[in-house]
Amino acid sequence: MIDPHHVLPPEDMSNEAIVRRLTEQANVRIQNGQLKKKKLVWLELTGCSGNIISLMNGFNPNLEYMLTLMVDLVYSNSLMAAEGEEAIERLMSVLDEEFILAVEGAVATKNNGLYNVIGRWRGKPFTALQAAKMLGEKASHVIAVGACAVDGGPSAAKPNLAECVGLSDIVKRPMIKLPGCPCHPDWFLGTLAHLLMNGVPELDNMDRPLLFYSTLIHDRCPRRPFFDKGIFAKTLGEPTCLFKLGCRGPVTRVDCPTRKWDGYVNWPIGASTCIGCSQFGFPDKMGPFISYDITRE
Amino acid sequence: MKKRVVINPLTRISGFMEIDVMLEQNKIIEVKTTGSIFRGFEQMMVGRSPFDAIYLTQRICGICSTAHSVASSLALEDALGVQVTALGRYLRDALHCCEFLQNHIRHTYQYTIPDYVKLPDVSSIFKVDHGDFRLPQKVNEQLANHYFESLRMSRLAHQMLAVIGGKAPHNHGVFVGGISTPPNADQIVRMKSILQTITAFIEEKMVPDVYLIAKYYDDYFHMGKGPGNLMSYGAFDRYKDLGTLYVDPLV
Repeated sequence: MIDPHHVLPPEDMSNEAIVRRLTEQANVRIQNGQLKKKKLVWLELTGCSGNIISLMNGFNPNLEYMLTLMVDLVYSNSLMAAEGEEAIERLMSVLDEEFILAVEGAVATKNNGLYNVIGRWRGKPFTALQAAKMLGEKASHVIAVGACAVDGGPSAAKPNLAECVGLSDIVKRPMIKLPGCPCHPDWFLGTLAHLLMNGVPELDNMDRPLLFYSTLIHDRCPRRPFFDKGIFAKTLGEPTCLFKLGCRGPVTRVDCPTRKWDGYVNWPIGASTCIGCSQFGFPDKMGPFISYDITRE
Repeated sequence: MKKRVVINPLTRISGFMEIDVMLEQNKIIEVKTTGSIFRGFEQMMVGRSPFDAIYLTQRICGICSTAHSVASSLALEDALGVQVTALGRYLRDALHCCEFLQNHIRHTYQYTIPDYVKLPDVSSIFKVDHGDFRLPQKVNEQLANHYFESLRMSRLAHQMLAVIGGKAPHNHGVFVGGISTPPNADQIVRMKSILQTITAFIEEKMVPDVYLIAKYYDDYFHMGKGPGNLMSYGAFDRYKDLGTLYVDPLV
């Protein structure tokens, strides 16, 4: 049988045409059930819900692409139309199926998790702690998205009244860690694409994909020549090396300088110091973020 | 007969909230709202370098992080006795405006529209079992398209923010005295160009869409009433040259 979507020569070989053809083919296969999109659950736990906002900032791929062509997003507190019990029913319905779990936010553990209630289940408060355990155990893959999910992040900053911890302290299983505050949309979507196409990406010994987290910011910083020559900025806004103002580029391992943010227009060091938001121990071990008095002249 | 309705999670608000309603003969007689997350940001500031507040308080909220950096900078300026130049204030407020645009677009389309518009069957998150959907099919379709189009617009608003703020959410541009790095002509014209696209969308689609929904749900204007006491600290107000562009502090 001739495939109705087969393209006869001379076919348009422009990138746009190829993408359009592949997209159409994938869509047809999804529609007729040949291809099944994997289910994705995005849990917002104890944090600012800024990683889903960052995900909405993805340019290529963007959120529309992820929703329609990459996965079937089943649960997202910030985006889903359903609410109340209906929303929680949806969340529970995936437990019997295969799904990928993305978690943003830390897990508040104080008072049995009551410092962060994410819904009601059968009339009782359903805590971030319960959700992390319940879904974390059943998921086919777990991705900790952003600083809070990775190791507590800002939610666990001293004195940590809610006794927040990272996801891996609660869910004892292999997981992919994507530190960053927030996580860059490409770090998540690229990891997700790798999971869908080729399985778990190669990780370093801290469970971060080497694809994004292999190189120190300092090693690819456009201000590096100033560091090498010992020319340091005395205030923010100078174009030279910000090391003596407290820049954490020398200890932070991620592709920020080459990837850049928000449609690839700028990055933190384009405005001020790096505060080490993608490094373990952020924020407590990365402060002070700006220091005007490291050297005295 | 009394009936209790509890809604938790209240989705699409960028955070966690429970609404607990008591009804008697189809009238609401009591409502309790509960914010169900506690991290203790005030206590986190104790013993930390004061400048760190500008960055750390942004982590209170992902959709409005810039507002927290602005508030921290204002507090530090007050404490340090720093006088901000007119230019510094304009630049910082321009950066803050970018976030307002992002926030308002996402609030309207991603957070509010799904209560009125049935979204296409492309993802499970758009499924909803019950609701008060009244829009004619054609109007519904048009607004659903705008839901997706708006995603590009809110992204552009954050892009405009990042041009001088480094990144969004959680910017690096806002600082004591205005912003951390003065923008050049290339950056300013880039922001102005992006703004033109967003403005066209808001004027031609977003505002008419809101009026359209208001038309089909005009009875909602007469359902329930708050105490009517509203307070504003003001925003984008009392500039020396331009006066108030948005709202004065008032009760």
